[in-house]
Amino acid sequence: MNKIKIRKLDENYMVWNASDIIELRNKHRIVGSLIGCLPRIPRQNQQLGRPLLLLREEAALLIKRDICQVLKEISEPTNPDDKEIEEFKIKRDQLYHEQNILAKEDRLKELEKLRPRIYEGMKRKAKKDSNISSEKLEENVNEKMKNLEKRIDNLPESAQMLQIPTACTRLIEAPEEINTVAITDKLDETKIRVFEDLHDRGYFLTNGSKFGGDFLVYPGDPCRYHSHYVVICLENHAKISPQQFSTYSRLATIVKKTILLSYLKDDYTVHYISLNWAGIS
Amino acid sequence: MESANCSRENKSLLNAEELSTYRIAAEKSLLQRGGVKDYCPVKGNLEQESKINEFRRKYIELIKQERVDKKDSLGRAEWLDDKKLAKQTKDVGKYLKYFGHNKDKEIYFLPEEILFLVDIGAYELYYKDMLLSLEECFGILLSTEKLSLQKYQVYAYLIRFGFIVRRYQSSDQVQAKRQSNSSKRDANNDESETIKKKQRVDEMENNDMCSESVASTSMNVKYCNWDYSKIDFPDFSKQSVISLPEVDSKYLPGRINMQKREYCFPNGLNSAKYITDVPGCKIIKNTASNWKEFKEVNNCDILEKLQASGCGCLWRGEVQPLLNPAETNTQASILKSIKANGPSRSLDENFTENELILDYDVYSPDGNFRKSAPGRPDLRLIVVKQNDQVPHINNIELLNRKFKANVPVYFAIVSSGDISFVSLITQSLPDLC
Repeated sequence: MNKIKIRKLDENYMVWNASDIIELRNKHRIVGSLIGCLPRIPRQNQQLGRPLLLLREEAALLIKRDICQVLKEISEPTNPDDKEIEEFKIKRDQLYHEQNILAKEDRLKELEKLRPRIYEGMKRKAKKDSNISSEKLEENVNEKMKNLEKRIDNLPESAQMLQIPTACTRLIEAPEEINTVAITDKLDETKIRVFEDLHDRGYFLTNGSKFGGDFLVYPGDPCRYHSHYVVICLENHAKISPQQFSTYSRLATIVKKTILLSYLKDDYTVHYISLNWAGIS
Repeated sequence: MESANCSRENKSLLNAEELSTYRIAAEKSLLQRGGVKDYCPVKGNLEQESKINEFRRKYIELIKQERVDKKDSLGRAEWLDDKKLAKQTKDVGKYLKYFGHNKDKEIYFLPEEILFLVDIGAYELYYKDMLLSLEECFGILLSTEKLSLQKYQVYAYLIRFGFIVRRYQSSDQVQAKRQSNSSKRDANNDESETIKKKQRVDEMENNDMCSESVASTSMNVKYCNWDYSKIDFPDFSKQSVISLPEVDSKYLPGRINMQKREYCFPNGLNSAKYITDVPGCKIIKNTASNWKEFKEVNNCDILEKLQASGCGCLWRGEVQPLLNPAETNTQASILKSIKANGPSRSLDENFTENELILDYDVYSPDGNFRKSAPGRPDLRLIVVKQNDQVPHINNIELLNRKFKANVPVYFAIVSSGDISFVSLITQSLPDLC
């Protein structure tokens, strides 16, 4: 079975193949965020296109579960060999010729649609001569059509459509042996563990920076449901001031979500605390 | 779902039919963002399911979009790995207004510029006769110095909104460029009106820069330490005739002729009317039991005096003098109310950290932008990652000093796919009493 391919760039993990992105979302509940321009409507920010940038926690989970394969970083251009260049040129030529044929077929079809009108025109003309049989008329029309068909030009070379490939079609080998993302500190580890735990419970998770947390937790696909929780990861034994609690609970009330303070216990189990602002007055 | 596995096999290159029908089969609508959502999934709810399926269908279509264009309208560039620049080999015109720079009659693009042009499907980038995919472009171009994925995200985000984004240029760089430009212009000797206009803007900016340097030098004002008790001031108040010693003509401007050296005051200097009539300047005779009362009475007196004197009209209109003599009666309060010594903070003595590096100049899209004379940007950007250290307060202070009242500096905080902009301003709060 083919694994999903992830390309590394520094400490960023990106998915380039459309089918991989769709599989990640539909099958593995991994949402990520699109960061490229949308090819057909590039100059807007409402909906972006490939590549899909993964959260570090998402990448860590995919690597750990052996769902994906991390491809080697492309940081320098690789010299193409002559064969590759030759193949590329042949491929382009071939595409042009095929497009040319298709374009001609299209013109033919359009011409064929005009046949009744040509027939009518010639019939009207023939009435003036008045002594032409219907067979002869048919013949004349066929001849006229043939002449027109001959006049269909080749598709100009400059009018051919070219594709700039989004995903790389070469350099897909040489998978890097990566067992996990680089973990920098205890808090980083906590985030990865918390993400994994919530993901395994069936939630969808996205980046939570919009709401001042680490993750947003959705009960289903984020396209359809509101998130219920804002997760804030804390180091075990972290010191939190009462003012911090107050800040969190105020935040939760404002965004109408539940704050989950989550941390790892010494035995690496994930624990959650939610804050509830008791409005006694 | 089994189709996902099969179709993963390299379906990213389109065939001839897909290419030629590209324009016809256009999915031009976007996914709906926000709107009414459901609280949580309900098993067996057909409406929810159909909506999700509809979303997924559209999502797949959007994700699968490829960059395709007519050969005619595609630009072409060649990546020069030693220079870390892309050289244009085929021009399509319209992009050069905001992208690229001229050098030796060739047009070169910076890595982020060419990356964006490939991203929007406007240019093909080649390396040694081989077309690079967007994936390769991301890898190669974002691994160059001074660039990162986060910086490109911010760069592309702003351009997609229509802003014009250029790499940050310090005033020295701008100056050097302007000089070389102006020498060129002299040679050509055809100055258009717009160039002049731009120049004027540039000069204005120049002045700003000057004022910046003035501001920084005037920071260490030296107070004179004269001991006034030891300086003898003559007392003329009792005398009716004052004679002044002759002033050496070399201290006077040429046209002034110091002839008269005696002034007569029949009733003594004290009676000179103009002295006591200066508004707000008055000897206080009121009595009060405490300081508060004293100040109130005093202020009232001064205000009354003000109203009565000819100057009263100054405080009647909407536009009033900056200073109110009733409230500002010490040197410190005057300086404070005219904000002479601003809210700047003094820097730590042993401050060694590097200065914050500005990343981009951003111009709003008003149509007057010219690459050769970009003028003053509308804002400047520093791109930071979510997990970066918060910049040192001294750095922010230095930044505020450098660009005082000139161009706002924004921090673009990139957290995965989200970008938020923050500006840090040292505040001077208005005094309410």
